[in-house]
Amino acid sequence: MQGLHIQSVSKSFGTTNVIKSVDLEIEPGEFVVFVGPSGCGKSTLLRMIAGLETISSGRIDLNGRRIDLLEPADRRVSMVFQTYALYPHMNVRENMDFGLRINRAPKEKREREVKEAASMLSLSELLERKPGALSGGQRQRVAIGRSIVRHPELFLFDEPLSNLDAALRGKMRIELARLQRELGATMIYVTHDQVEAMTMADRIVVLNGGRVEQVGAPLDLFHRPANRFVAGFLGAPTMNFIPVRIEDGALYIDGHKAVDVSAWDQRQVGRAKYIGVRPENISIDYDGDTGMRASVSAVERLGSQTHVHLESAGGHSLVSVSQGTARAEPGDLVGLQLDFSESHLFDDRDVAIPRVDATP
Amino acid sequence: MSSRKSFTLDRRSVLAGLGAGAGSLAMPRMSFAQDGELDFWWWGEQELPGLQSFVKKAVASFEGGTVTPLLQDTSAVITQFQTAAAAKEAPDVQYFWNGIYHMESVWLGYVQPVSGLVSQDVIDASSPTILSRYGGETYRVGWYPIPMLWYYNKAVFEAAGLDPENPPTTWDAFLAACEAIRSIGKVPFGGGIQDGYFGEWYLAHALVQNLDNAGQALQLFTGGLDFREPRFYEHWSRLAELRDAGFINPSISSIELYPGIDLIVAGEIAMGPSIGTRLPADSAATSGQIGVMTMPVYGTGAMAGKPILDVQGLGISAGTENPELAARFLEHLHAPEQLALFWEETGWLPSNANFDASVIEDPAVADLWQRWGLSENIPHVANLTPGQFYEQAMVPVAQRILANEIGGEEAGEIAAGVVEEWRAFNPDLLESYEKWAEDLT
Amino acid sequence: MRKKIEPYLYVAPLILLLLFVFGYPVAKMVEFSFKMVRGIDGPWVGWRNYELVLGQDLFWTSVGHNIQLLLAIPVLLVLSIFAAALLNEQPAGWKTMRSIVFLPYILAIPVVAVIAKQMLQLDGPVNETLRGAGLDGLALDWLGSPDVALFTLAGVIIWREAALGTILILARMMSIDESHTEAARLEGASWWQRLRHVQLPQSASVIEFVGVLGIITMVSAIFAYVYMIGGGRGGPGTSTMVVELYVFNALTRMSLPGIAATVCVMLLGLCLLIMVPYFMLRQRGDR
Repeated sequence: MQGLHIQSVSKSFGTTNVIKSVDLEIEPGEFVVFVGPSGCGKSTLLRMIAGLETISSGRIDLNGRRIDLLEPADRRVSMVFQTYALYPHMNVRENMDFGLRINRAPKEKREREVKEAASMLSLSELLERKPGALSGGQRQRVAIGRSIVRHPELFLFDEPLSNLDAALRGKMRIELARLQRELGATMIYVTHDQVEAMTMADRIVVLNGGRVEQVGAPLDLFHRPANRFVAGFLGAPTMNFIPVRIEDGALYIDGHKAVDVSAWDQRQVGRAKYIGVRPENISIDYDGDTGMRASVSAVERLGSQTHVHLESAGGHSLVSVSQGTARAEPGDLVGLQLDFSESHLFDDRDVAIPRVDATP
Repeated sequence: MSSRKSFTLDRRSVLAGLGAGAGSLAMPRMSFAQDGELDFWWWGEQELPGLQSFVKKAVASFEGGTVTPLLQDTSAVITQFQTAAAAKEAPDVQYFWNGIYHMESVWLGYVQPVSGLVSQDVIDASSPTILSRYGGETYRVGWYPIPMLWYYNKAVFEAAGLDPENPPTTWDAFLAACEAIRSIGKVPFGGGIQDGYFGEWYLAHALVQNLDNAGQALQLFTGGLDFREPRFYEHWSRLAELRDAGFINPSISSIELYPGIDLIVAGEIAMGPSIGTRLPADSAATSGQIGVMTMPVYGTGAMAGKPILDVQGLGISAGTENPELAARFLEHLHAPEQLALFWEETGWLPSNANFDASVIEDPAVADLWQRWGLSENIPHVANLTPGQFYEQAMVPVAQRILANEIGGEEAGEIAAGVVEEWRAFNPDLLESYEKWAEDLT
Repeated sequence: MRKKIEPYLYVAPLILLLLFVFGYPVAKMVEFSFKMVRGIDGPWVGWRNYELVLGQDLFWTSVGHNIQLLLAIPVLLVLSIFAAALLNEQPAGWKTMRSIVFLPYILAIPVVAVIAKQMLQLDGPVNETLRGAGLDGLALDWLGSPDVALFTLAGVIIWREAALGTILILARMMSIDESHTEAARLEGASWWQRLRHVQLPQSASVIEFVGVLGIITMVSAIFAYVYMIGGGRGGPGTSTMVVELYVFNALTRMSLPGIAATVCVMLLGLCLLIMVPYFMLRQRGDR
């Protein structure tokens, strides 16, 4: 059974249950991202796979071997830490071949491995430098190089890009993705940044409060969130949630009929309590009296986009995103058009009500 | 520095010193003082509990003037006095240990003779000992006696088939007694030398066996006599002899003086050097099982086998403004009422031949006083030895012998070497020692 | 102009105080070393005191003992490092263990020494236990044998001083980013390899400090230990005589303040010789 299999794994610290029975299967060669807010348990789960934390119950298998009872070094996994954890008194070469050195690998092997990894990561010129003399991005690459050299069966990344500036982060995302394809490696990547999750993952695992909310390909999660949490977590600015009422096969917002609900599963649609609409699916009608009435409360112009913050007549706070520069000003009274083909209904337990129409 | 100066340091000195310091600060000044104030620096609460109480009362009852007492720290008795004297602020009356411990201050000109100031009767009765004499003058009045003796445990003697009332007086008898005691599984002789004082006491008892007078002891330092001569290291050879025969407790090197004596009192060891001031308590604790003896004789000197009496004393500083008043105070301390008070407060004897000994209830203590205090006795010659010899020869040599490192001859060699070093380090003291030797011969 | 002098004016009272408290006695001490002092003064004798001291066997024996005690420092360092490394793993009850380890240092030296003396008598608890375990050959005369006493002294000093070393090194180790040791664990480093390659290099400065502290202690701050354990006079025999005790004896028991001052001057010189280059090197290292 190849790949990583996590079965009913849970973790408690004393009486606090931080991971509540997670099941997960990861295919070989997959790039999986664990994403979620702070404290959701994603790092803990990662450390449990690495062996730096014990599991309270369940089991973990990697490529046919049960690893949850093994020492970290015997699991054939490697980890890149958020702070890189480079040994400050060793230079780049020594940092990278440390693992091989203490396991007494022969000199030629060590040199070969380091050379290969260094060239893959553009570190060949920096081998003699100490970490103190490297930039953040360079240090990060050394940390990755240290992982590669050991040829593990699984790569683990614990928020490796969070200490870099935005521009570098963007670059490194591409680099990492390229690296993963080149190595054909199985990677688990932990981040709180949903942009990283969306762009890098083959599949995303959304975690919240120690529980898996949803697992799936990025676009699947984006277009078909299983619950309100996932819906609100992916996409920025966050999805707008508006209370609704279902009556006679139609959906009412603030007493006005908005749309009919034939697109949803008729057996369940009666339970709907909220509708979620992404900001990019709300357009503003400056002249019109059509659609929802709202007043503009704030405008953020990013250059390529404009975020318009609105307060609807019914008293809901909404955000609309439009490309380019919009001419809204605070205080304007406008009409809102909602694109319901991209909207999502949720019941009173925040579970999404399935659509029955074909969606992209 | 002599043993009893420091033994109680470990046990109670901190509290005693603090108490003494506080007590002396709290001393009320006598309201009906006439002219005349005296500063009185003293020591001894550390070795004789109750002495401070005596001082307080004696000072209060002195009608000649106001006396301000100060209890000194053991390590400061000499240095504090000498520093004050050099700064011309010496106390009027000062406590003095015997021998070199005060004679040095005499040579430095800090002390004036008591002979001529204090009534000669009082001086004689107080038995300052010959070690307080220099250049024909006496520099101290005796205060309280320190008989130096050997203890023996009567119960152990009886168990070994020895006469508990007649301890051995010759060396051969001593060796025989040791054999008998060993055969019943007890240690014949010993104590504790870890803190060194045992070496001093042993030398004081044993060196004199081949000396005729105290002056000869001084000649060992001035060059007239030499430790390399067999009769002057014989005492160390005898110690080695006892060691080789297995008569000494093996733990002697790792336990201290007083715990060592406690072993004699407890009946683990049969015989060993001790000090008279312990007798009242030890005799009471064992219901009279502790006997006192002089060291069995092997030597041919005139001082062999004689009881050793040391005496702590008081003197008058050279720079005092009130020498007469100081003398009166010293006489006051020897008045019959004060002598009786001394016994009451400390449970120990004052150094005065006229002391009414009928108050002594324990026959062992009365007997001790008779044989050591009121009969012929010899000085504690260890008080003659320069500090350098004490620290670098007298103590280490005995310790090394008992640790089975060296024998008697080598001990003599080492001692002679240290004497030569002493002369090189202290050329100014040599002349004084030579003159002193004249007095003591 | 005033601005330049101002800082010095602020510091001046303290400097004057220090000069008075330290400077004057040191100057006096140097003066004494050239005089034959009795009481508080004496005649000038030039280098005679130095001649006497340097020509005396006992002095060199004392120096030799101090040097032998210096050999205890590597032992002290190794013990501190291992104790710190073990505590750093934070096994069950480690906080209690840490307090127990540190206890000797909290106790005043005389207390430690008195306890040691009671335990180490020939028939005391330590030897009784050894004999009971059948290890009669190890039941040495810890206090009474001249061959062993110096080791005993070193042992007691180490027991107490290593407590401080352990706590200092432990504090440093605990401040090392945990991810370093975790990374090493993942790479397969054993406990010993982690210690050697990750923790020790990052604790080097503290270990060095403990070492220098140890040197200074062994040379000039063990008086209390020696006085208590050596029976107050560097015994048995002269086997635990050290330079500090030599000075004390010269001053208080032999009435030779000049000789005491002479040895102190030499000791001060030696300490300066150790400390000044050390601090200069450290400063250069920081740049």
